[in-house]
Amino acid sequence: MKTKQNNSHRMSVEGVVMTAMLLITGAAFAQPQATLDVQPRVIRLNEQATLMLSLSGVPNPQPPNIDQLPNFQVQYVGQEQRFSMVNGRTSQTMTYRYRLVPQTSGEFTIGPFQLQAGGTTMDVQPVDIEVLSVSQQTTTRPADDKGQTIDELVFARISASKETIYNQEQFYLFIDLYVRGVNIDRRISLNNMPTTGLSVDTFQEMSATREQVNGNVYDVRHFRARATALTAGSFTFKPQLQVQIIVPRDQPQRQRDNFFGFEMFDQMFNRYETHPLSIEAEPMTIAVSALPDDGKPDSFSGAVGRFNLNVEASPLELKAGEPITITMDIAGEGSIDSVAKPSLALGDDFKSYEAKMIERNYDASRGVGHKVFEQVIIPRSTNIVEIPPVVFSYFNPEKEQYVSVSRGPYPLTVTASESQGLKLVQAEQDAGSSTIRQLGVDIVYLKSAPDAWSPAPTGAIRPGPRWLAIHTSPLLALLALVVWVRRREKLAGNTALARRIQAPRRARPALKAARDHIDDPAQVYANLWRALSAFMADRLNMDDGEITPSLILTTLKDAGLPDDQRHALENLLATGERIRFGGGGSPDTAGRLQDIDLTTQVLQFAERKVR
Amino acid sequence: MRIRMLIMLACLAPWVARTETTDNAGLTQAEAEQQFFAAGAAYKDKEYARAAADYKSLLDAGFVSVETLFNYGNACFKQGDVDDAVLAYRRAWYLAPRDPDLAANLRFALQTSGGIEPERSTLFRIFTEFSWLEWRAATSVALWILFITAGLWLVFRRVHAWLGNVMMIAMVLVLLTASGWGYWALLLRSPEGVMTGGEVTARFAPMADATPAFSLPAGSIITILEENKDWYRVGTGDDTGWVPKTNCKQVYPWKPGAS
Repeated sequence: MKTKQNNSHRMSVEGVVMTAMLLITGAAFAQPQATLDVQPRVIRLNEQATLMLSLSGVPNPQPPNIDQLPNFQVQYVGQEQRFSMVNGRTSQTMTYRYRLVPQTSGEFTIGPFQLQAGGTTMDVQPVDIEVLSVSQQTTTRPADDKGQTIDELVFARISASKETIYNQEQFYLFIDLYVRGVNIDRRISLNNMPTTGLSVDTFQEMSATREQVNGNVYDVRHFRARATALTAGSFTFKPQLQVQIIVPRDQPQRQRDNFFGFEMFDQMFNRYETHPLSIEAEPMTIAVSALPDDGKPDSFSGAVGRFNLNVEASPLELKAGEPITITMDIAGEGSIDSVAKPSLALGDDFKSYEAKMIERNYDASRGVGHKVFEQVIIPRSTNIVEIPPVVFSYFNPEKEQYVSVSRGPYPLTVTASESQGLKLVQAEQDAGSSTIRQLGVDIVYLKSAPDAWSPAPTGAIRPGPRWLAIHTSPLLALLALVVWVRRREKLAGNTALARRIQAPRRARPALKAARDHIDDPAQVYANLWRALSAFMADRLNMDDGEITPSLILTTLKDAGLPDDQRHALENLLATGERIRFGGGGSPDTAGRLQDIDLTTQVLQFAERKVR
Repeated sequence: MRIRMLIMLACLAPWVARTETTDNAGLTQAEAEQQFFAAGAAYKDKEYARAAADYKSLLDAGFVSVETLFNYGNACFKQGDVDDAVLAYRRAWYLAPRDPDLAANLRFALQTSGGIEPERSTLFRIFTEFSWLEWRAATSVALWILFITAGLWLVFRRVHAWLGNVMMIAMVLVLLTASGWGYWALLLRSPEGVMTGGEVTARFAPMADATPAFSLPAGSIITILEENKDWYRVGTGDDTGWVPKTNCKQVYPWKPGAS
């Protein structure tokens, strides 16, 4: 990938020994270590780079004396100090910064160095840096690039921190975004990552450098995310990066120059716009291996990483039957979710309760965390002299082996219990009052038999058919009541309607009376007249006295009563009047019955037709 | 017409009067009571296994009551079967949520097993102050009050206007009590379960070799979110995972004799 120029020359500064008298004190600090970095690693002749020398585990160090590096001007810039605490260990890192200004083009190697700090000598690994000439710089300008594709200007690469990854192991994924000759804004989104088998945290932008690829200089933005393998298998990454390219807005050329000649104002007045661009990184496949079965301890419960175990047990001097609380703190680097409670083989000497997780902390940015478990145990006898060791096993993916951490045994002094059951104890400190001391805890005793043996329901919590039937019937009754009340109120406010509706009801008794007195012609025809007149009076909303035979006949004729029935009714009315007022001849019983039927039919017709 | 209605009502009567509760197959009430006392005697003699078996056979026969479930839970607890004790106490809680003895024993059993209990909202605590049976009974009473007052109001509203206020109060009562009942019914959309058979590992997928997600101590009360053949997806707080059905018993509804 990297092309060496023919005219470049390699200048090594191996053997340069920097002497810095560094005092190393404090046994709590980690082992002294020195690292060297230069950014960017590819610069042009008229640019500058920053050299960073970091010393960790060295308390109160002095700045190393780096005043001469061949082919570079070196200038001390400043220092920064950082403290961190992992697993209870404090570490201090001091970083010294120097400005490097190249004096000539070429490829150079800075280092390796040896740093002396007190009685310790630290090796510093070398760093390569490439200085490009000014002419080389101009040939790579985008304006001169003809026939280029966007893939040559913007592309991405993905890589993993490890090649061999175990199930549940945490590792880093890196994405490097290479950009040359185009401007992109800060918004970058990532798609097409595996959704199963891996847990990938959010990518964080770490730094920006400059690199040379195929003779071209790229600005490189580095992203990093912590990932955890959840299952064994092979996973292929082919992420898509969605970036926004900033380009000048396509608009008519103005007659004047940029506003005050500053590009900033163009941006301010929206003379630039962004276009989305999707970049596909080259696929990368990683293989996640299952944890080996060889050497797997019995106490292993799935934890992968590097962990430490701290155990506290209290009290260690007690009476039989009193509880001991064991607190187990597992801290370290790795997948904290895979950490389960440590193993504690108590046997029959102790009554034990299930361990409970009481605390869980995880720092996703550093990948470290801890879990605290608490377990209560009770010694059963006075013969017990110790609490067995607490063992926690995990798989160390760096060493590719299982590691067991054991704490204990813890010596125990158990004396006989004084109390033999529940008893009331007189308080000693206060002679004037008494108090009850809790001597034990147990479940509440049995309940007595239920009053009724009707079984309680165990089915679904919803209305059953019986309940629905019981509560639907009154609802229907209520609806019927609503209808009845509305009808009653309607009739109360409309006399004509009320009389129309009750007309048959008034006629019916008269017809019945006519039949009952069939042997008495006067009664028969008087009742038939009463039925007809009452019906028509109600139907027409008139007084009974206003009804005449001619009015009845005219009304029925208008309603469409057939002529034969109308003539028969006319005869019936005439006969009735004759009998009632003149006492003339009367039809026989059959004729009277026929007249009753005729009146009934006429009333039924009138009920339907007379409005 | 009236005769026809009477015939219809006569036909409906047996169906309406039919009990909705479980059948008490195999045992008369006298025998059930006798067995209850026998189980209590076994418990006193510290024969917890026999006591538990007697109580369980009572439950299996359909004689489900708070007392039987409570005593069965005690017998299970005493013989070391804490997860079944938690299950029995929790089932009894559905029938008597304000029973202090029940709450004490459930809490004690959970502390003993290290089991967890999902955190519940204030609304949950308010509505579960009364059992769903109590809410149902209250809804019935409120409905009948509403029906009667509505009928009276319809007929006498011109004479006694205050009947309208009584009807409104009855309506509010119906809404309140029906809400309590409905809340219980909503809870069963994601029914509770109790983890049994020791500490159970919840996994990311319903497969035996899936990645472990978290562990659930025996007796833990969880929420069943989903079912997939022989697996339940269970939730506790923010964590969800798949557990085998054999390690998770649904609290309610349940069929006596089935679990």
